[in-house]
Amino acid sequence: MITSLCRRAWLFALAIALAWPATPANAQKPPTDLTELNIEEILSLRINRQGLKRWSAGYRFVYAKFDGYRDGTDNLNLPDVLGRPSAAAYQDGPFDPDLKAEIIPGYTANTYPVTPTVITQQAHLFDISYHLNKKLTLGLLLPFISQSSNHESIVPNFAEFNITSSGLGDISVSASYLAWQRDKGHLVANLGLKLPTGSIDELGPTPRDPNNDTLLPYTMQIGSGTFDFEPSLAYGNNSGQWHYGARTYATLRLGSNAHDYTLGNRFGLNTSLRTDRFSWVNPFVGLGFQSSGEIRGVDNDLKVPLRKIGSEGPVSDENGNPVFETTTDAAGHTVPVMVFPAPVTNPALFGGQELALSLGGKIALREGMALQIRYDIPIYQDLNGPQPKEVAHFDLGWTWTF
Amino acid sequence: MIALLLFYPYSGAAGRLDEADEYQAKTALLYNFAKLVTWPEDAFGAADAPFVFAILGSNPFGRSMQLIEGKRMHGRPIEVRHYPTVADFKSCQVLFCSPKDLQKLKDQHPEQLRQGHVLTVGQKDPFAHNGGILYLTFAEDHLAFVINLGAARRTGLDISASLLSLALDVIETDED
Repeated sequence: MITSLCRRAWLFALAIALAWPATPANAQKPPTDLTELNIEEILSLRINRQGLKRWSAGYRFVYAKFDGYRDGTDNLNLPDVLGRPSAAAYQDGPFDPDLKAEIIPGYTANTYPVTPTVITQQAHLFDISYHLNKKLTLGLLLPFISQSSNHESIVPNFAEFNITSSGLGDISVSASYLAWQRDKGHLVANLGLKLPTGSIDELGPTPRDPNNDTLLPYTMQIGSGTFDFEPSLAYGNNSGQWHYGARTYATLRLGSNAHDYTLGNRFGLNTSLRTDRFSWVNPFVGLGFQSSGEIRGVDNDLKVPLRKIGSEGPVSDENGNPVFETTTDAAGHTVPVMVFPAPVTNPALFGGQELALSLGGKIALREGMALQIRYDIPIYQDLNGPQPKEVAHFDLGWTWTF
Repeated sequence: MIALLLFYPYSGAAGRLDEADEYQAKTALLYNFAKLVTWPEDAFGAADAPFVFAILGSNPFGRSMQLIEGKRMHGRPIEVRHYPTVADFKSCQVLFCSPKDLQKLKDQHPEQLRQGHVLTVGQKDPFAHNGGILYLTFAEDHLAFVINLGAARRTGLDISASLLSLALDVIETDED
């Protein structure tokens, strides 16, 4: 635990150091009284557009809710996912879904003894940026995450239960560069690095051990546990009162984390159209597509050891290590069978493709300060399921340039 | 290692003598604009009235406008004023404001704007298309400006041909 805290403290310091701007102490300034110049001379000056505003700060509140399930593009309900085989079905033989289907009518490979019902996630994101010059900007983002998940299960005394987790997430440092600019269009390239400052050791009460807190599923962990490389490229165009743009981005996980797994990589494309026709608000509409992969590797602490439900505890070998049921796959490898008590503990049931419609508006509060509200409506979800499906996504942001 | 990163030198601005502060350059530009515009004599009210540059609403110029305070323009001493809100607006010759405040001024003080012969200046789109006279913008790394000649004429201002020739664009909207 102490080692983990020290590691996070070191990463926090590194993040601040990476993002901290150096003072341009030896920068030479032009003469401050330019009024003696004529217009042509003034127009020929190269302008430092961030002369008075080198800093930007922001806060965003993001809320997401997941309710119901999706398998591919099919909607599933709780009875489709929560397995309700009799206790006797667990007592003998390998836990092979196909075999169980013969024994228990209605049992499928998609049913699990434990399943989340409603998941809510809240993120408080604090960011600060420093404009080194008009092309290069450094940024630091501190996320604080809070999550809650209601569950139902077939395990005695755990028919309904709730687990929560919260804390500092993965801190990001970034550098963005204005790569190209013409009269109305511009292209910005961004390189970001997410540091594994968020916890992947969150514990809570689960049916896996009625007497002690156990490791929470992947969805309830605060961080990825890996260094994540986050490149993006954004194009924007201002045509009079209309602004349109597109941004493509990726999250590439580097290596495996301390629990021997890697969250899936993500790729996405956002487009938006905004108008300045109205004096008090700039409404916008957008489409966002994201594709993400399943989890690679597996957290062994989330597996269920071989046990007889309702009677004896986990089966252990002579050294006290838990024993998992295994079988042999087509290639002759020994692989575990039915080791995941819930869909959110199964690495294969993560990722997929999502398309969302964004509606929102930007309100200028005063010079350099703005408020932005956005609501995303999922319009297409093709998920590796059964997987909790997103039903709402709300984003409220405040930015201040000074 | 952290200390090294904290003091890692930033080379971007070093030696860039030609890079000017945005609002100091804009102040100088406004000062030079005023030289090349002719106001009707009744724009000043009294023979000894000052030539007033005013900023309405938030002041992005900081203290840059102080550079022109006390200089002379068309034979009159320059005075710089700041009107925090539209309700505070009084007469002036050059007014820097946002498109939103310009619209409020046109709604609440239409006669004062025209009869006072105010040269309105803004830097947010669509200032000139909404009846503002001078729109400050950028062309690459350099300042540029757009003139709404129709709005200038309706306000009774005479803009010199040399100023028009330097504009990025000259537009003529029919109405304010």
